[in-house]
Amino acid sequence: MAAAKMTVAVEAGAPGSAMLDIAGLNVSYPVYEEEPVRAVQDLDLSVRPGEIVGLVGESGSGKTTLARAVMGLLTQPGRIDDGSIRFDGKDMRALSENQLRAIRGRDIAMVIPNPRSELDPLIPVGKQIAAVARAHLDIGRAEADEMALDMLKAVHIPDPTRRFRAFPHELSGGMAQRVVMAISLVCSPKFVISDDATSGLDVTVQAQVLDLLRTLVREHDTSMLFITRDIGITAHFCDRVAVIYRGEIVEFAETASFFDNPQHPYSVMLLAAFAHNPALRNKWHKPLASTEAVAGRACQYAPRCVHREDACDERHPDLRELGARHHVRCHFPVERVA
Amino acid sequence: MTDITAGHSERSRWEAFVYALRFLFAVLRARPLFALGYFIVLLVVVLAIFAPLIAPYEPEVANPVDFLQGPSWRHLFGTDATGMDIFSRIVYAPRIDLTIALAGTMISAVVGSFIGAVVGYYQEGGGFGSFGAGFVMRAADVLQAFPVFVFAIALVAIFGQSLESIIAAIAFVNAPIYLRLMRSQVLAIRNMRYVEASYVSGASDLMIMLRHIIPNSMAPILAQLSVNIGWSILLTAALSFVGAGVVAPTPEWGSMIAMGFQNIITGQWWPSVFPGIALAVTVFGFALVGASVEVLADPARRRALAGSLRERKKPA
Repeated sequence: MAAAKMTVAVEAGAPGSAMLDIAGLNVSYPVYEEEPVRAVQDLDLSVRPGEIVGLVGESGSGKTTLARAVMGLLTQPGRIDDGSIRFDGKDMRALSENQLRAIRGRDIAMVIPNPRSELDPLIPVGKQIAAVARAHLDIGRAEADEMALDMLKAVHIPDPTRRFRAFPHELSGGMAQRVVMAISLVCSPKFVISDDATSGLDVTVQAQVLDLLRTLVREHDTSMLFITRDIGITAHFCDRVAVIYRGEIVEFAETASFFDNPQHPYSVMLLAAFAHNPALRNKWHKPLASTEAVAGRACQYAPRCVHREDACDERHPDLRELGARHHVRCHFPVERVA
Repeated sequence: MTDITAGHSERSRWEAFVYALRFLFAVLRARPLFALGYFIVLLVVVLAIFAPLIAPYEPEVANPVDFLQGPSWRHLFGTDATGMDIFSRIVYAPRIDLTIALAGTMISAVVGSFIGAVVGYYQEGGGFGSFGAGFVMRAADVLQAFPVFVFAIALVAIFGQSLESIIAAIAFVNAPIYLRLMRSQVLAIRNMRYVEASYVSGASDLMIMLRHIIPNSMAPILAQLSVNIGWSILLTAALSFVGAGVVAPTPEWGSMIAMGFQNIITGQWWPSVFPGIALAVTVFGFALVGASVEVLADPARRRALAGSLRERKKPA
């Protein structure tokens, strides 16, 4: 299990103690004869040991790019222009491919969606779990198999000894997701990135899987960056919530503070989108939401914002701390939702 | 915990073997054409191995007194113009034909699919990898642009009329097929999410290639292999027929057809027709085996087949 038990209270904002510390990160995708697409812009984010941070955003907001940048897995032609990514005190950008490989799967694990396609169709799932354990831990085949079986039990797969030998196509989606979780947790990583991991599952299975994932993460004292497009999940699941819009964090707060008092119009819009009251939904949502590129220095969200004012078009807002550890990137933060 | 170690014990492996055997028999019952294919291939292999026991005469000993005898109980398939027993020669022929075809196909499959895998894996990386991949593929184009038969004759002409050079010719002619097949498979497989997932969990390029990409690309290669063995037997026979292959007294189907075909005009059809039938049946058998391997090598298709077997049993 994880070496040192640390409680969240121990760290009190000292930057060195963060498990993952991203500062001023810029990621862009060059486009032929055009301005590069800036997928992640000046992003600061830190995850403390044992903490679960939710990262919420719509499609194309830079969630996955961020996750891949952390793993050193940006797809071509994406590149990190600027900024630092420190994981457990190590500068991830300075590590060689071999050093990164030793960390991936061992200290940082990543869960990506569509569990069934993440499993090799020709290898029994138990062997796939064991293979990851063997690649990183100095253990023999029998011991790795035993660890894999323990993992299958830990993720509550019924009849684990039989499933050990099952091929991926013999599993249901929920079971495949559990296997994928077992693969990512078998080496007891210090940090897990879950990228939209539950998107392919129906709601009941999703609830079970998330519950299990949280229990396991808490048991192993693992930190997690939980990326999702479903803001509802984060309320029960995460310690802190960050909302990302067009590659920028627009709001970052403790979960309770965030849901009690969301302050960025975009966060409010996301929350209102789940509301059953159509009046509330419409109040925060512009029917003709523009996706036009934002020129120069304006606020990224201005074209879609219901509270847009002149200042929004002139100055780019900074991330300001409003209230206890509640950061918002808005000139005119929302006071009351209703 | 004890269950897992039991998974590796001798007993369960034996059980798995018995299960696999029973499954195979169930498949063969349900798919009689597969069974026919396996039967033919098995028969040819048995002939090759036990030829000295089966053949009533020495295959290369001519008995000029008994030349061009029709099929009879003494000479089952008759004798040829030099008085050699045709049945004995047909029984001995797979030794040569199978050796050439198997060796040629195996060499081309191993070399071709290895190069194909490397080309497919590094093709999209850009830089030198892409350049090298393009070069290899164009070279394969050139190889395939030659008419297969002319190319094989040319190779045999250059390297001399030996067993090795025929094998080399067949390997050369077949290699681009495997190269292309493997490359296209690897191009598709390497973008699969499980390859990425494996990379994310810290596997090296070599491990990904050996553990995930090559096994997942093998099904069409295996199917191609069997069809190709049959096809290589045909090519061997064809080379021998035109005189570029196996040299005369050696029993080989193609050269036997060639030796006998002048006699057809005068009514002695047996020196050519019997080896021709043997050749056709053998190639057909390998094609059937190829079709069955394609189904059985894929766990999902195998499972689907097993499911259909179970359902068929129910109403009975």
